[in-house]
Amino acid sequence: MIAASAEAIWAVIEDPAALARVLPGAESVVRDGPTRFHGVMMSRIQFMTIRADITAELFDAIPPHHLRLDIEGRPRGLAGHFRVSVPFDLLPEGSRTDTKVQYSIDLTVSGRLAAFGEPILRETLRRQVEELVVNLGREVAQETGHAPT
Amino acid sequence: MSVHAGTVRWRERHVKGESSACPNDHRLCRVTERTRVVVVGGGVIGCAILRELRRHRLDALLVEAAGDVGEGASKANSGIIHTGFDATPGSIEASLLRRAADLWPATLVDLEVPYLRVGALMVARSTEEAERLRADQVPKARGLGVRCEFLDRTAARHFAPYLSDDMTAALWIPDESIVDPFWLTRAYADAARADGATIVMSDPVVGLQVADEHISVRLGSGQVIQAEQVIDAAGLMADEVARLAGDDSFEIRPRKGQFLVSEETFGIDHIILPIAGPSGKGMLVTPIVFGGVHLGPTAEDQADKGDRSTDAAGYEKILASCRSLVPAVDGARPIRSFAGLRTVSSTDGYIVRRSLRSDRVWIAAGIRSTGISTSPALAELVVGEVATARGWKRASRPAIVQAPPFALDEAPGEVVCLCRDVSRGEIVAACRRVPWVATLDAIKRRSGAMFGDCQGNLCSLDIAALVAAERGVSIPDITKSLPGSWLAAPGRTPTDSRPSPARPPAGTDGPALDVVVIGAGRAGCEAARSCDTHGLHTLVVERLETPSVAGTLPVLAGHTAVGLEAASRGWTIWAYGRDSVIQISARAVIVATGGYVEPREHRRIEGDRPTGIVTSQFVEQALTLGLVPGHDAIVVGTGRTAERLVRRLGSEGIRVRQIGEEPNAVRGQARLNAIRIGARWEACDTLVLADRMLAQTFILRQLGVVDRQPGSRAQTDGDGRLHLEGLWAVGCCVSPDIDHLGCAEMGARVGRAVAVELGQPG
Repeated sequence: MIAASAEAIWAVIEDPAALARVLPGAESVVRDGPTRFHGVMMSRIQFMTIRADITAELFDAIPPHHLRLDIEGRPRGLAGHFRVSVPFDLLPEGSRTDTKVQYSIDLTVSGRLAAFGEPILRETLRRQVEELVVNLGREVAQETGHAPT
Repeated sequence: MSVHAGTVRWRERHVKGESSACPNDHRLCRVTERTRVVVVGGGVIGCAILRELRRHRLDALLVEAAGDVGEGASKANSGIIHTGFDATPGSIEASLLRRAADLWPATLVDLEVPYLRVGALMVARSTEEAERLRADQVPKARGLGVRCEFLDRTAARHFAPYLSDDMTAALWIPDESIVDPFWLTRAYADAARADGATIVMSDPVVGLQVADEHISVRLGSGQVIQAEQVIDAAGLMADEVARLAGDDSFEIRPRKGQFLVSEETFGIDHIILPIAGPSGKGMLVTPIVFGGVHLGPTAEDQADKGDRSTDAAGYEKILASCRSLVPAVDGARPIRSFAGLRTVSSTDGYIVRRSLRSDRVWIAAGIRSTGISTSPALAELVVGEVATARGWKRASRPAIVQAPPFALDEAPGEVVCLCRDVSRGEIVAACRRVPWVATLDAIKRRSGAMFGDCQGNLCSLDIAALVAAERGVSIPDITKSLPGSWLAAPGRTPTDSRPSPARPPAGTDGPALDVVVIGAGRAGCEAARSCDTHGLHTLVVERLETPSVAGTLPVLAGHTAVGLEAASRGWTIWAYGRDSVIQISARAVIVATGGYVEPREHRRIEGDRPTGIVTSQFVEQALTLGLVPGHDAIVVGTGRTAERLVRRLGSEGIRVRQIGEEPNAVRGQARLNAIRIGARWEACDTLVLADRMLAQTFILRQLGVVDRQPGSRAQTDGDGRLHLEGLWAVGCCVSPDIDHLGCAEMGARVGRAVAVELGQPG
């Protein structure tokens, strides 16, 4: 739950520059289109910290309630590739100043990452998406001057 | 060899298989080191104690007889972190498990260990057992402070639909977890070493001499370490170490636990266990943190502390027991079996106390089956007791002692281990992380290589070559684990084993590709030729630098295809080479990845795990490198491959015999020394399996096109189509028994079918 309207949250999500600030582990992110950016993302998989060269893009926008974030990338130092798709739904709650963020995670990995096993990868991804939602709340609060939830 | 914040001394004699006699007269040995505490034993307990000592800023040194930490029971177990739900109330084990539950969250974070909280289901299979669970086990667990919930048959079935039909109820223990046991052990050691501890490998303790103000620890190399305190955490040898100080108050007896490892999970996502019996927890079905399941262990008391052999009886017993819990296990095709030796004390419980002969020796022994689970708490207890007894000041807030971060090179390089896509960069990083170790097992456990279906038969020589290059030695100097466990010997005609210069990647520029063929064997090349003949832009991706049958076909040699992904216009793959990673897109992909000979580990051949039991592919690679797999070989198989190997090995001056059927047992611990055919033992140092071929479909596994059973074939229609559009397969990965002519014919046929399907070039 984020103490902000869906519109305020949407403004952050659909702005790749702002999204780059809230994506956990995002480093040296560069925008290369209205809905697209690339860069380097750092991810901590319990026992290993991996840096990956990523491309991220926003799809299926139904403002201000639905959006899909697709990230694909190649980890540095490991042979393999990943693609993760996270559709977000922003659902107004109560007085419409609170918004429930619902999401699901669709992960495809190949190569070395697949050898780490799906449970560990899903756990890592779940943690990162939760962190993304927390970061979203903080970013929105900074934008609007309200305290995050 | 670089010297880190701590110090590790590596014994050259371990690599070269030498042993070093020690003088018997203690007075002749000069003291070479002084420290506060010597920890004897580099298992999970010893390494946890070492780290705990550093947390309290106490100088410490650990001595380990083997060449690496975790070589005993610490590497050969189910990897479970138990909550202690069924421990004996009031026992030291129960209290340590409860305390460990508090310590684990921070410990796992500090050590960065692979870990999953999967929960456990203790299964009842009768009305009486269900009542025991409800009336006895639930209150017992809750009395021990462990969360649990009784599930009736309906609830348990809903929770775990894979349980057997005769299941009547289950106890759900949500906080039972799994961890990688070797990773944990070496993380304790690495953390302590990074914080200033010293670790001495390959040097057993051969003498303890207690004096008024100190204790002298004499090592096999002749070194003498003077300390204020010794902590005996020597596992199976803890009684023998204690006796060096004159303490014969206990004995340690080994209890063997055989395990099977399956890559297939059967949908199992929790630890499944029966109601415990007198010998222990019984046989479990346990998820492995990186995927797959462990089945077992057995519980066999024995006298021999060195016997870690597995046998057919154990295999059958494990499968029977586990299938009674989870019927789907009946379809398991394990990729390996192993045995761990639990340490059972003659006092039938933990021995955690000062020695009866001297307070300068503290004992932490007889940790029968909860060593991993209790490790942080046991370390805390032992260090606390020792510090109190010695009057040492402990830190009121122990330092955070973390494992050093795992750094990977930016460029992975070529893929070395095909089963798990482990790259050269990871192998080299593992080598550099442990400059004091040069065994394959040490690199295996730190990189994940050689754990997959082929069990190292396709890649161990490549990995040995990398280790040898890092250590400045040659492949024959590299051992698997024990002294004497060499992999290969110099051949008559040594070749230059340095890698040939990388060929520039070819064929990926220019017109968009219509077809990519993965694998330049006979079937793949014929399929590519057929496509090429029909005007399709075709490229073959092949991991060998010099594919032998490709002729003039466009080949991206020295590159391994990793990852197949459906794209808008067909498929995308990534090809990893020594110096390049190339993304390739094509309208169709033909998988021609061939096969691999079924390794020993998949077969029910009884015995220990010596080196010298290899497949024909290992031998062919050894010969290419100018090496020989051994000096006295027996080749199993009657086909062309077996006969060719017999000739080639003979021409190398090796004594070689050929048999039609595989042996039923092997002998030898470090290196093979005999095989049993029927009831007859035949001496040899090399067994070459050249009989049964399995399909190599690792790249299709990640797509779900094949299951995780070893050797699952690609299922195609008559034209070679897989069920995913634009994906085809040919050759041994479809039909492992096919011969060369059949491969060529299939390749040509499928190539034509692909050409017909794609029509005009894209």
